Amino acid sequence: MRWRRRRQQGLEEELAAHLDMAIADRIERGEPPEEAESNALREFGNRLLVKESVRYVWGWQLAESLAQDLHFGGRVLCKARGFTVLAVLALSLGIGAATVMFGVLDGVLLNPFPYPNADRLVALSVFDLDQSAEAGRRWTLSAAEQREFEEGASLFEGFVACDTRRTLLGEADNPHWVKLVTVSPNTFAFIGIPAKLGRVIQISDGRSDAPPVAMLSELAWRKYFGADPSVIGRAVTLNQQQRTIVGIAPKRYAWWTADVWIPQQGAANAQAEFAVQGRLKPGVRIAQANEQLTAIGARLKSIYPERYPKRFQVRGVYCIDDIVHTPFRRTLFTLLGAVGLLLLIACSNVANMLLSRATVRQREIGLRMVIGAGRLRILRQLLVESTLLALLSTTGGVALAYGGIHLLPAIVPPNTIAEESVVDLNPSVLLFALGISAMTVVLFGLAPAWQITRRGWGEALRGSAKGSAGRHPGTWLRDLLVIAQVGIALVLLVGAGLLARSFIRSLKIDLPVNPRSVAVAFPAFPPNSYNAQGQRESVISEYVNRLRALPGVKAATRTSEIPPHSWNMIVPLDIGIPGRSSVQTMFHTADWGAQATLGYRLLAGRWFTKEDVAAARPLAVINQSLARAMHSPAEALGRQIRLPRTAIKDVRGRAIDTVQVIGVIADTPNQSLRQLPMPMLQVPSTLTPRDEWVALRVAGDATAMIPAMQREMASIAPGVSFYWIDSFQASLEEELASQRFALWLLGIFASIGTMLLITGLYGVMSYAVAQRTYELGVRIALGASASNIFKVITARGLALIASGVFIGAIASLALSRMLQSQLGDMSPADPLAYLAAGALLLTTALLAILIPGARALRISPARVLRHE
Amino acid sequence: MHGCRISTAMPDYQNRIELLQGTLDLLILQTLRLGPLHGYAITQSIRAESADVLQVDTGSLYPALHRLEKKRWLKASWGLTDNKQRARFYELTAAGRKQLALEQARWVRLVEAIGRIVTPSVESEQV
Repeated sequence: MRWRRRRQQGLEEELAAHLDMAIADRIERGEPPEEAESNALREFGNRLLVKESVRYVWGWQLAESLAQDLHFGGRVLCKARGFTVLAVLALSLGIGAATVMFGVLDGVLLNPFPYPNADRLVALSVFDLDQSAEAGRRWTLSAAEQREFEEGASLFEGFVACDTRRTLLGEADNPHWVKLVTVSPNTFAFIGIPAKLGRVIQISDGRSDAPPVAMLSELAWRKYFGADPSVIGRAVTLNQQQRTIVGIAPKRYAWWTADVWIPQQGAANAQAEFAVQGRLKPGVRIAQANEQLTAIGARLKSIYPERYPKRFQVRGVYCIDDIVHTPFRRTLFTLLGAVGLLLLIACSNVANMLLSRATVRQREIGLRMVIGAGRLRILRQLLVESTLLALLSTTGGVALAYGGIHLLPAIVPPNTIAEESVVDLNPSVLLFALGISAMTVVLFGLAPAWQITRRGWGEALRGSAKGSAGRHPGTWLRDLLVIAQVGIALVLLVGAGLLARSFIRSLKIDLPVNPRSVAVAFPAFPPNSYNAQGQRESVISEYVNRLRALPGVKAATRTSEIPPHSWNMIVPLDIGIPGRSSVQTMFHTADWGAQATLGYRLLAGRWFTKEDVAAARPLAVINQSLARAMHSPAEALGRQIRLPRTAIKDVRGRAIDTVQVIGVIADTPNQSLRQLPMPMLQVPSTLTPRDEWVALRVAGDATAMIPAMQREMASIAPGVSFYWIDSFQASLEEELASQRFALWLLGIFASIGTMLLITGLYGVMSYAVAQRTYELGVRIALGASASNIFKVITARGLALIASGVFIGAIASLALSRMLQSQLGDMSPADPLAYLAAGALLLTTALLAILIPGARALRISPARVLRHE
Repeated sequence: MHGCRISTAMPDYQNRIELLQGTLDLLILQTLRLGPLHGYAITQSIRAESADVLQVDTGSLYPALHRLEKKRWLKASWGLTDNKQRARFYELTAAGRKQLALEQARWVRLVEAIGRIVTPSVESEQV
């Protein structure tokens, strides 16, 4: 580099010497010195050009001038620091956000499973066509049904079945609650789950005389065994049974999110129910398969008429659809749309800034053309500048995307995505976002060259020297970009506003009690104790009585149902109406205190009394949805309902198959906060021993009761711990997490979009003021009032904002329909959300135009005119 | 060689070089035959020897000088003029002398050929 500079200096000196000698010669010949100098200069010609062509001869001119361009471009960007930072920030945010969101979408929705051919895995379910898809769905099949499908469904490659439950892993002194999945022995080979260590569960493990084995998930292995490889072959106690650990599954393989898998050994119990998955043969359409499944279902109905509704269909439901909750899937798509809009705002913002700069730079570029810069050289200079800008923003974008992609999965709410999902940067999306932003930068970065070519450098020099009031070319494009930005920002704000409104509404969802004043707990009994007949039930009863006696406790109960959803059993109920098929109903147990604790609102009849529960009377309280199937709450009262399986017994151990409806309660959410309640039936908790929650209600904050709840349990039943103990609010929070997540992200996107919009608007307006300084100076000199000047300046901005808001409002009305699924029962045209978004946008946008407007007022006419 | 590339980059300027190229090289080499000269002296010398007919453009001269230097037909060194002005002096190298002889011969042949076409009646007459 140094010898280059020396050589440059040499050339400089050589040419200077030439000129000096020429002047000296002329003076010697008698020319007056000034004339001699100007003549010599004229004769010499364009010194820059001479130098340039010599440098060309040197050969490193191309690289040299490129380095020069880079150097100059860097200087230009450094000098316009504000512009550079804003543009780079805007584009980085756009690129980063778009890439991260798509990465999540891809990892979570499009391709979450590591299993080969996972896209052909479906879960078999029986759908009652007279009910909603959620309420009328039976997830499980009996072993006999399963066999029938296995033999008949020729469009499938095969089936696997499983059953999940919670159980205790380890010894009595330090057991862990784990999720145990009992799988059909073919599962591992069929799904294609390899072993990270040891071996997978094999068909032979399913023989009834095979030694009992278990396989651990990677997570469980890490959590409970410290990732110790020597666990292979070790015996563990699982649900009081000794089993040998034979293998560990690799990290992403979390079939049914199990901690531990065990094989189904021997023939399954006739009563047992299994979730069944099948894999479609390649090329088989799901509709075809459903037809075949339904035909088999029809045959089964003739054998097991009570298990099939009147009108039904057996369908394969893609496993991805089941695991990724539908609302969350929509959330992700919404967010992807939002980041797309954000990228649009970012690009149009940068385009606008570049266009504004183009006009500012016309004079400079015109000047460079006048002193002999070739058009191509100028184009190249601008191209280099744009490329530098694009490079900076892509670097920023990639960095943001990289950071975001590692951050986002950590804040994705639990249980909303498949455990198997791995979220990673998606190279093609990254390229796409980079491409779009680079294109914007380069395209609009070349705008000055385009403008000059159109107008010629002469005009470029004249035009911007004065700053006339006329419409500059490209103004319409800038205006359009501002309008688009305002519109898009409004769409984002409205979306965020709608979600926020719906979120706030769901916080005060129609729950019968204040969730903060209710504490819920799920006792966990150690496997080797409290095993005597009825011992656990009496512990729970005693516990509830103790809780009721605690100071401050208004009510306490045991119940299997805690809204909005709890582990439940769904059974087809014969409601005793001729011609009406069975109704898929949620089956729950409750104590006499449940109504007071959970605040169920009675529509008809009464709740269970203490005596009903103590005597285990065959009574039932149903919810409104179930009553609707019996026409009305009043008509439902007194009706006998047949229970499908004699799962419940009275205190004397006699099987009970009918219960009488004594009360109807108002619906409470029992599937999730966002889904409509399904029919539900509750019987006294003494009728059937079930896993149960314990709940209590106080006047104030229920979390304060938790230590007392733990103390009471310890005093009556040492060793019993809690699987879950927290306020009712906390369990709701989990339910609300997905919505909160969407709200946060959309809120962030909307604020970024608004910020970009404001900077863009501010830039355009300040530029307009700068552009018209001369004209405004003249106006002030001629006596224009301050309000007049202010009006002149802000009128255009106001017009742009107004058109943007108008267009944005229309677009929002059209687009917000897509949010419907996340809004619950709220209208996507909620006026408050629109008003709030509009007001927020208007005030911030006004600020962005008022500041330049105020600056226009401070223009000193004397200075402006003298400057001319 | 690079004419095409230049002409897109700098159209006006480069065409002039193109026209003068071969001839200017010869003129420079010829001028330097008697000893080292600096750029200004070369223009003056060409001008004087051509009786003010040929005026070498600085925009052509310096690129040509540097090109010939790059081809190692000339070598350059800094020196002082009679007026104590620091200037860059060019002198012929051995390769340059060889090239001069070559160029001279080529020039003679060229002039003869052109002469035959332009003035057919006069045969093998030198200009």
